[in-house]
Amino acid sequence: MPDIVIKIWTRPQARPQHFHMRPSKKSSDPIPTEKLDLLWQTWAKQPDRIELAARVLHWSVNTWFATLRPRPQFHQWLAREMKRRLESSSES
Amino acid sequence: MSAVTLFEKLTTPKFGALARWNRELLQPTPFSVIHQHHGLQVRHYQAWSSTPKARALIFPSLINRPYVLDLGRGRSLIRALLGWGYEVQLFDWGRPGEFDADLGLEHFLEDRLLPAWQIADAESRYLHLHPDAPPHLIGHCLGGVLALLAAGRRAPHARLTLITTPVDPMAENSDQDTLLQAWAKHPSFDFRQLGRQLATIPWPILQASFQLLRPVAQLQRWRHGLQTWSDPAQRDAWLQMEVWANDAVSVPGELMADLIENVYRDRSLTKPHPTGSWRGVRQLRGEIHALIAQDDHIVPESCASAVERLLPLANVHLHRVRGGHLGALLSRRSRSEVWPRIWATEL
Repeated sequence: MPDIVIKIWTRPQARPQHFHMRPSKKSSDPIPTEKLDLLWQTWAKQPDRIELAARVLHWSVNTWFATLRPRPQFHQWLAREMKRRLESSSES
Repeated sequence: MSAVTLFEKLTTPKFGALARWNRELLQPTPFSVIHQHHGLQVRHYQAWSSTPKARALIFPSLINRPYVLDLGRGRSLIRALLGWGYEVQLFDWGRPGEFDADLGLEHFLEDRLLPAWQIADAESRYLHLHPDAPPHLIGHCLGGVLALLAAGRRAPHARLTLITTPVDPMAENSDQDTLLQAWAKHPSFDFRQLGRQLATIPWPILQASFQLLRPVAQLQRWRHGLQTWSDPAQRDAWLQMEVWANDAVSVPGELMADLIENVYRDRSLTKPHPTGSWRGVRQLRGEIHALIAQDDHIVPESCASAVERLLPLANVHLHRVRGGHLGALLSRRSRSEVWPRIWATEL
């Protein structure tokens, strides 16, 4: 039976090469800035994620446009309604 | 009125205690408005002496308010220029509204920017004294791109300073795309369609995009602010920067789409004979200074330094400074060493 080798990664901050990054210049900085930046950039640069973000943006803009801005039909309805009220008030 | 325009109106104090606090914090240098057209203003900062030694015409960034160049007394580029004997004029692009939705790059240059420049010339005391002197143009970020385009048509011999300007974001010598480049050139981001729907590209979308380039940086800024709160000078500097950073401007949809397509997708300036809005730019032959931030995640070093490669007839000087997109411009070292080298030595 082969030996089971368990690798325990005890100090990742001591092995920056595993993250393909430079060691942080400010070792006392409690926020591992470069590590987080790199992880985020690697994640956010993937084409399928950009595609998804673009779709969400376009979808939300279209929804906003459709709900908050009156459609042309609304203007037509408003014009008809105003005309009807003017006519009815002049008749009375 | 769209929701974004309403929000902008509510959050831009003109009167009252907040406006007074803003003025006391930012200490703007006094100016007069010599021209106003569709929101675009030309500001005139009168020279401190009756015989100005030079004249600076400033093109601020399109997506932020121009007072980053006049941020408090100690860090104000405008005040420094006045101190060196300049007469200063600045284009304030204003806050575009729904009527600017169809304002493309060419329209913006021909109908807004160049006529405003002519009026600025007519009001310049320095030009009355030295009618043949070439102007000194200063462009900040995307304003630098506008300065290049305007100089290509109107002043090929101008002395031009580009501050962290994205000249060629897809520079071939860069190792790989930055996040902003990857996002901007992805075909699914249809800025033209967004602009048509919303009239302007709203500043919350632009600001969120820039903050998302380095989400951790926002946390760091706040942490730094809290750490330095007890020191009044540092606290004021931090507050000035925060007030400015959150006072962004929406950009007309067509104009933004044209700029993204020209700069990020077509790389118009890299073509041997650029046409359209870019005609004449490669024939610039004056002195060009480029202030480049070495740790800039918005305009990387290779992107800003491409000006040396792309303007073969000009005499280009590169000034590399440690710091980010704004830190490089406003840092103490930049103020004490780089600013005088660019603007004070040749007077």
